[in-house]
Amino acid sequence: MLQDDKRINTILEILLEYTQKDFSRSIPVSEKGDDLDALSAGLNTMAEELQAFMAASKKQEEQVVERTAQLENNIRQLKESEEKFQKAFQASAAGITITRISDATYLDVNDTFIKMTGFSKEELINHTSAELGMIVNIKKREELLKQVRQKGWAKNFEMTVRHKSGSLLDILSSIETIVLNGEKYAINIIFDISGRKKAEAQLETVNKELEAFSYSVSHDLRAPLRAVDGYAKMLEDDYAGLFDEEGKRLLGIIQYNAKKMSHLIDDLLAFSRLGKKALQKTKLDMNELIEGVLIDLGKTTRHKAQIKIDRLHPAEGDYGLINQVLVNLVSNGIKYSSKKKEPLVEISSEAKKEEIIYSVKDNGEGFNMKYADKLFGVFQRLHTPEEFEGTGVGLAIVQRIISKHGGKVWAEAEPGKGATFSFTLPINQITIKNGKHRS
Amino acid sequence: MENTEVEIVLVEDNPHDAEMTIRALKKNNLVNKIVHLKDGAEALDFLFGTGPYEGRNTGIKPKVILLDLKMPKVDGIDVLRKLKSEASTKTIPVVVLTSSSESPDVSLCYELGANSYIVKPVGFENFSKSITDLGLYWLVLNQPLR
Amino acid sequence: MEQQTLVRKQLKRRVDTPYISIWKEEGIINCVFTDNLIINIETAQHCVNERVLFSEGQAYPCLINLRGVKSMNRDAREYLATEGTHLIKAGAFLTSSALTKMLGNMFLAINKPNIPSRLFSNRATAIAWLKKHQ
Repeated sequence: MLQDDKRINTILEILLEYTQKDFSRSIPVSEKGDDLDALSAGLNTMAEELQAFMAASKKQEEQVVERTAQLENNIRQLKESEEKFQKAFQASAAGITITRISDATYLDVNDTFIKMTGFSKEELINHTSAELGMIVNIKKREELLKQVRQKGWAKNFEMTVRHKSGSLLDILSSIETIVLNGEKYAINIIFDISGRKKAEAQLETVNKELEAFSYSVSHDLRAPLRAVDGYAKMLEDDYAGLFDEEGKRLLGIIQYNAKKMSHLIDDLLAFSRLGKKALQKTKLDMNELIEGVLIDLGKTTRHKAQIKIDRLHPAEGDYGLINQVLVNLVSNGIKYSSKKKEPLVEISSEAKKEEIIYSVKDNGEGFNMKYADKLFGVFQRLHTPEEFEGTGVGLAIVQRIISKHGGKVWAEAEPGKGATFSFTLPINQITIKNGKHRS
Repeated sequence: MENTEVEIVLVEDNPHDAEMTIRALKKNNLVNKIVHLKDGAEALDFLFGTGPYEGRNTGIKPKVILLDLKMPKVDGIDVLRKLKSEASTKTIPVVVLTSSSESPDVSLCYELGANSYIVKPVGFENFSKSITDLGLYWLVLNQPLR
Repeated sequence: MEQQTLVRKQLKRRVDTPYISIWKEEGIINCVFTDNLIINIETAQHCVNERVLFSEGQAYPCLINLRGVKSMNRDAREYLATEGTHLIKAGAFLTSSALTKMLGNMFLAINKPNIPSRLFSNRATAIAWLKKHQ
């Protein structure tokens, strides 16, 4: 019996451990197989089952927690993406509509679309664009719907639609399809391109007018020039014998200038057409360019100006046009300094961080800075032809060419002391490299 | 104006351009007979025998027409259109005179049936090139005097 | 193992291993676990393998004497109640002590073997019941 008490004590001890969820020990079973052993075996089995059950339920609990977290995450993501969509939908500068593909009725529209079309949300929802009279070209709409039904999308479709007020707008529309609850919907992103279309049309008209104007001007300018040149030629052909050397020289100058002007007309025309063409940019050796310009000027202009040229930074630009800029600025410098005793024209360049400044400085007449803004206008002149000849186109051309290159033009002057005309050309990789190389 | 032996009709409103053209052609001994008409209206009258040219024998056709484009009253484009739409004048070669080869009128003239064009001033060289291209060189070359 | 196989071949009607003795009697397969056996998954698998081999592909009612079993753990019970019943038509569990009765009861109640099974303390009653399942 004493033995049994001991055994019962052990059982109780271990049971107490079980209540603390400590299942490390099992209750010993003796070889007797008596009631206490049976009790022990039963308790052991129960303990094992309990342990297994607890493990299983713990695992299940963990799974539930995990699944709940997953679910919550999914819901949050869904909410976020819906919120994102809603914000994008409403804030978009494009009109957005969601239409059911089967009957083309509006399911939802954003504010931009409402503003664009003039219809209220209530008027639009559950109705079709055709019902509301928005469609101008039924055939085109059918075509679009057909494509969307077949391919599921349409990109950059241009259409004309009618505003509620009856006015027409040009739109650019792109469509994607989505499936909601087994039903197909089209998301249509719409831009109002009426303004752009109008501007394009206007620009085209202006361009055409300008072109027509240019050609008629060129025709009218060429006719007298042809006569000057042609009659000088006749004089040369038939009366050369009656002329002394000076007479022949003068005749030659007439012909040379007539040809030169013919070329200028060609250049001017080419330039006016350039509005449509892209610049043909190449690397420019400005030193080489200026030498050519001076040789050219020497042929046409008898001047006594001293010309000083710094080592010039290379640039990138359209060869013909930058050449024209230099011709115009240097010939101006020579022209306006020609009345000085010692005319001087200085050409220099200076590299800045993002651009190179080229300057042509003369010690000539200069001008009052309050007229500076008039300098670059077409046919604007600060001097009479008696003072200095000229047509007033040169600086206008300079400005157009430089601004087309992305640069600036300006002038600084003082009356009687001379003027400096400067222009910039933007630097890009190539010119920076060469500039460093040179210095 | 004699109606026979017309070899070239020059339609040109600018008297100086006309003088230069005629002089260049004559100087190079190219043609005997040039008829100079001063605008498009006169050109049509001459070619169709109407107005002041009523009764002219239009059966005698010029070998080539040199046609300026910019003229008062009826301009060169209209003259060209009319000439190329009439059976009686359709086959006469027309050389258009223009101030610039880049004029948009040039391509329009080709569409209307012009045979060639010359950028003014008309000199011996560009004229003879056009004429040669048209296969007319020997036809318009001045015949030796009898 | 080689020795055991030899034994089985010589005495076709009886197999003795360190854990179990198996023989056939009146169309019933008798299994007796050795004394003081602690049945874990390995011993359970061993006993079932031996019995299945002995059955030679034929299912029999089975009289399983739990007499010597001292304990049986959970993995073993689960195995015996499921895979371990292969080729057993019905199982009669013979118990003698309070301990084996408890073990048997627990096994039937908790693991619910997938064959007709019952606990008996009398061998003759058990055989009579098994004969109904031949």
